[in-house]
Amino acid sequence: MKVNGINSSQYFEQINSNRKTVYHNFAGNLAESTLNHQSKSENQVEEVKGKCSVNYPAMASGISASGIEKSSIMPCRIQNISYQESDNVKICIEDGCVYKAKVYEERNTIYIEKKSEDGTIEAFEANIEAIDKNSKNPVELMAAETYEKYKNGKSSSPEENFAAALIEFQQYVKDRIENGPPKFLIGSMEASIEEWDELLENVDEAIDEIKEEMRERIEKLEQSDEEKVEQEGGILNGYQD
Amino acid sequence: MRKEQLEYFFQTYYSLVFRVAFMEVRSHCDAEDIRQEVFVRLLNYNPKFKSIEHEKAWMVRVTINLCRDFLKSKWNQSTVGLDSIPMEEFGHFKSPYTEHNDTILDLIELPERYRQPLYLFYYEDYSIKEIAGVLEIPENTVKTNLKRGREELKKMLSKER
Repeated sequence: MKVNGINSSQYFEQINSNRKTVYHNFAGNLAESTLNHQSKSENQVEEVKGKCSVNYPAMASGISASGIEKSSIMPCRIQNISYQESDNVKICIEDGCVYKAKVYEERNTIYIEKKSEDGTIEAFEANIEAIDKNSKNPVELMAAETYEKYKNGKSSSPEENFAAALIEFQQYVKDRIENGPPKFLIGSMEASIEEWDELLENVDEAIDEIKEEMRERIEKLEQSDEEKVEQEGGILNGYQD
Repeated sequence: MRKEQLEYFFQTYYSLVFRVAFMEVRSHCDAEDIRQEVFVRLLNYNPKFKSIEHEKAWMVRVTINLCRDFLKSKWNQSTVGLDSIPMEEFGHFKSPYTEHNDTILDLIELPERYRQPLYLFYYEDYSIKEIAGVLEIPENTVKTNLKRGREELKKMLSKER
């Protein structure tokens, strides 16, 4: 007898020569059902009580608690990837775990690692094509999110980036023509960089003119002082004579 | 220590050291000072590392010790601190691996014995064993502190909501 235990559901299969007796015990609303039949081929699909369909190859691979379907998430070997190697990292402090995910596009799978607070690490592999975005399984949600992120990151080729940059520049030029250069608040006035530079240049020129004027005044004063001294010297000489 | 070695240490750990220091001192400038001091000590002592784990543990350990010294210092105790970190300061803190999450603002408010293991486990991808080595506490204590810290954080988050 082979026993597979997945979550809270248990699956028992007894193979007895030409006759297969299958016992199903499902978590949830599905009633316990027993199927007795004679199978003619391995891929024969049977309907059992509880309105579910059973596919023997699917049964061998595992049954999810929500139904007898092939799950997109399967446990796998732990790789111990780091944050740097991951394509997506999700911290769930409230749940006490961290999810790390890495996309393997060539194998069409996403590797998800769950690191829990008690030190345990679990690893899963998700089939990209079978991911259900509306699933309530946090591992499956993580896989969907990672693939979305991966697609968005990968979709930009160099040509697309260049085109996007050109469009951005075009928009920038259009804005500048319509609105002029950006203005900054300086004290109580608003001025663009060019206006501010112009203002400072004007102030510098004014200061230079004032300095020049002061210099000329000082020179004139010095000249007049010298003349006075000469005149006084002449008068004195005149007295002496 | 050779120039190439120092460059390797700086490029590998300068970001990690800053983040750990910032979590402790909650100030961008102080965290920068502590980071500088960590690398000065690395130059002065030039320790021989047995493995990359030992290297990482040494850097984080020295950072935490320097942060403790800073927080105990007379200067720090005689200055008035702010009740919460200004958002401009927190803008300097960026985890390179995860998207920005406001949970970290609450994590910073936790006591040191919970904050350090939680930060190292969730934001720096340290294992229980590595955290035990860095903080020099038993592994079971790390697990207990992680669990209790998380419960404290849950209480804080539920109060906010």
